[in-house]
This record gives sequence, structure tokens and C-alpha cells, in this order.
Amino acid sequence: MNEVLRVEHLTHTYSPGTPFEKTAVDHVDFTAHRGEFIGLIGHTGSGKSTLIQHFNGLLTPTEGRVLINGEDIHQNKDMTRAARFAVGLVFQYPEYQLFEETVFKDVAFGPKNMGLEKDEIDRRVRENCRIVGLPEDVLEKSPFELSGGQKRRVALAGIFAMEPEVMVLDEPMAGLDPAGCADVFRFIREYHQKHGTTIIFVTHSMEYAAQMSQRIVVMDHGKILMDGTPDQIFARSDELLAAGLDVPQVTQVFLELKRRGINVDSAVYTVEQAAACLRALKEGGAAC
Amino acid sequence: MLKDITLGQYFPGGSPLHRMDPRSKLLILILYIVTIFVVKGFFPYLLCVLALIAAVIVSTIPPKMILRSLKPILIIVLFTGLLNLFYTPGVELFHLWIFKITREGIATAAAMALRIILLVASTSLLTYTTSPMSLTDALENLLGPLKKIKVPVHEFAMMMSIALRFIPTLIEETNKIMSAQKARGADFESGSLFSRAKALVPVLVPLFVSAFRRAEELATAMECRLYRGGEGRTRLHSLRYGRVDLIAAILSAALCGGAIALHILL
Repeated sequence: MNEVLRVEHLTHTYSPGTPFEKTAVDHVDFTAHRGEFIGLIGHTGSGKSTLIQHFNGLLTPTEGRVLINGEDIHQNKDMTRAARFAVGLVFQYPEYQLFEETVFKDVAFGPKNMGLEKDEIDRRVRENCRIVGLPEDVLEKSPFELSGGQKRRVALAGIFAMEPEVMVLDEPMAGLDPAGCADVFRFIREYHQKHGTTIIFVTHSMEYAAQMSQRIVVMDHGKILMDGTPDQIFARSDELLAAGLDVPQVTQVFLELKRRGINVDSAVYTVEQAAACLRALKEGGAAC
Repeated sequence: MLKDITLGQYFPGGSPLHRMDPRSKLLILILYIVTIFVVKGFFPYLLCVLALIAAVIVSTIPPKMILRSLKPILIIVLFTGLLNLFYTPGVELFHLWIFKITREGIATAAAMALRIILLVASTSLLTYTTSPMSLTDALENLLGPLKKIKVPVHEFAMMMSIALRFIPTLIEETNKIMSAQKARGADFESGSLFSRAKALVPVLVPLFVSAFRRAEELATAMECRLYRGGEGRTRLHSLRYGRVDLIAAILSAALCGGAIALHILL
């Protein structure tokens, strides 16, 4: 696979030399390939937010390097700026960054900073507003008039419209109702399929990670604890629980079944797998 | 860029200076400042300097931090020193063109510079060892008698606490919004002064929106908990004079008395 983003021995220490000193990311190596959908998991304070801010050069590593398409993003100022556009970063609660008079202008802020042509900006704004399900008539409204869920969509469209090579989303579903979550979920997937963008999806919910990702990276105490396909990760569910992380509810049920002596595979992480597994057990009595 | 602003500059720790009642620290500081401005002469100042050094050692604050607090006043110290050096009449030691240096000039210049340095260093020591919150509590308590003449002391103290409480929050918020806009390609570091000021609009608008939202939420939360002002309010952490405070009071009284005695006798 084609590698697009790589970090080598990345370490980041906040406030070095004071009593507040804290190493948030500790010698992390990580590679993302083109078109991958990666779930980045870890509980609060595990260093995931610090890590992702290195991907587009917002934070400078205390130690180590960040490479985009094989080039160090801190070798000069132009490269750092190019990294901002190559890696789109959606922060937590991105609706708090809206500032323009109209939704259109706000979504166009990123593309405009990239120095794109007017027609191209127009195309990208309209197209991405459609992807996130914003009706045309909203474009001329003030973002501050919209509901919370719609503001979130505007903010996401703002990053989508930059059409980055890698898109990092930090808890994009936080604080939304189930229907809102499902919508966000759907259009991130739609965008991924349409553009073949590498998506890094940060969450503390195993549920989402299990449903969405082809690859899951688990962080704990500033280090990468596990990295692999959902099958590989959830095969080690007991370790996840030991690290204080959640596992999907289905997996919890299967862990409990196994504990009670029923011969099932505890690496089950979706409801479909669970159904298939239980059916097999019922019919053949064999392990799934 | 914003992390360099250290407001309040509180340096957490467990030294006796940290544990002292903020009221006694405040009063001792005032006494100390009065002392350094009352006394004159080599030995009284030596005593004051030694006392401050002793306090810094007890506080476990790195001496480097105290020196750093002196950096901004370097120019003022130099300026006052030079003015005093050249414009104090007295026994002439040295003459060059219109400048003349007198023995009294040297003494006054050294004294003034030392006074300013001690003033700032001792005040920094207070803010390094006392959290802004306990300072406000101490102020409210010490200014309590003013309530008798209808000065809204509690309200001022509450406003100050809230303001202090929200400075780090707002700084954090500003950093977050700046990062978010930088991620969208906003550029705060290059361009003319005008374009840089304009680049701040995407930061200021969300910041104001969130500041107002926070203020409203806080007001609601306070009302939900039946906040009605200072009348009849008790505290979770009530201020208490302890043994450390007694020792500190005795030591500082001795210092003040000693310095003044030396000043009169010598």
C-alpha cells in the first residue's frame, strides 16, 4: 500500500522544565496508507489529541519527525503550510470555530486560504454542503442561526471542502443525538468512498471504531498499545478492558458467554457477526 | 505564543510559605515593603536582603524564577539608578562634562535600585506561593470592614475570582480556536500589521461568542445553586491562622524591628 503519512519516534512534552511538565506522546511510530480508514482509540489523556495535532504541523515534535509523502513537514515553512492543506483536521466540537456571516463564506474559508479559483471554491462548497446534508437555502444564512447539529455539519463541510489527502476527525460525533451520529457516520463514509481519502477517526467509543474502521490503533499513556484489524484488536478484548478501555457491547456479551463455559469466539464485534456465530452454534454446535 | 503569559504565576508546592494563611502573607509583605522604604544604610538593607533570600530558600521556588520576575523592571532600575547617580547633590567624587558623581549619589542610586528589586522580588514571591484564588479570599477578608460603609467588597472579590478563574479557560479556548483556524489555513504570523489584525477576526468572533455563552451558563448555574451574594455565606476552605503564621509574624516583626533599630543606631 501507498504510504501517505508517517511519524517516527514522535515525542511531545508539554511545559518542559516546570512542575507542569508532561509527556503526552512518548516515542510513537505510526504510518497511515492511502485510502485507509483508521480508528484511533484511547481514553481521555492517552495522548491521541496531541498526536493528531502533529499530523498537520500544529504542534512541533519535541523529538522525532512527521513525514507526509516521505517529506519532513518541518524542514521549512512552506512544507509546514502545505501540511495544513494535505492533512485536514476536524477538532472536537468544531462548531465553535464558525465565525463568518454566512454558511457559504465559512465553508469557503479553508479553500480560500488555499488560494483556489472562485469557481473551484464554489463547486467545493456546494458539493460538500450537499454531502453533509445541508440544503441550498442554508448557504446564505448566518451559521449562528442554525441548530447544533447543523452547525456541526457546516464545520465538517469546511474541512471536507479543503479536500485533503488525509482527514483527521477528533470525536466528530460527540454531543450529537443518535440520529445526528448516524448522519455524521454516513456522510464521513460517503466522503471516504467518493474521494478515497485516508481517514483517521479519533474516538473513545469502541462501538464506532468497530463499525467503521479497517484498522484500529489503540493508544494508552502516550504510547501505541495495539495496532491491527478489528479482528486482531478484539481478539485481545481482555487486554483492552485491563487498559480501562471499553469494548463493544456485543463483545462484552461474548466474553461473558465464554466465561460461562460456552464455546464461542470472543473476537466478535458486530451484531451481524454475533448473529452468524450464534446461529452456527445452534445448528452445528461447533465453535464459530 | 499564549502559553508564555503566566498570570498569577502560581507555582504549586507544599512549603511552609505555601501553607501560610494568605492574609498573613499579604500583611507581612506590606510590612516588608514599608520597612525597605523606611530604612536606610548598609546594614538594614543587608538584613532585608538576607531575609528575602531566606524566604526564597524556604519557599522552594527556584531562584531562577525570582530572577526572571525581575527582568521586566531592569530598565526602570537602571533609569532610577542613573538619575539618582548623577543628580544627587553632595561631596563630589568625579566630574565629566555636565555629569558629576557624588558620594551621596552612589549611595542613593544603590539604595533606590535595591528597593525596587526587593519590592518586585518579594511581591513575586507572594504570587508564586499563593494561588490567585486564595489571594482574592484574603483581600475580601482584609477589606471586610469596608462593608460597613456599603462598599460591595464581596461582589468585587467574586468578580475578581471569576475573572481569574476564567483567564486560563479563555486562554485555552483561544488556543483551541487558533489551532482550528490554523488547520483551515489561517495565517497569523506573516503579512502586514493590518492583514495580521484582520487574520484575528476568525479567532475573536468565536471567542466572544463562547465567552458570552460561558457567562450566561455560569450565571444560570450560580442561580440554580441559590447564589444571592455574600450575605450569610460560609466557606469550604475557611482562612485560618496557624503556627506557621505565628512564627512568620514573629520573624517578620523581628526583621522589621531589627532593620529599623539598625537604621536608628548606625
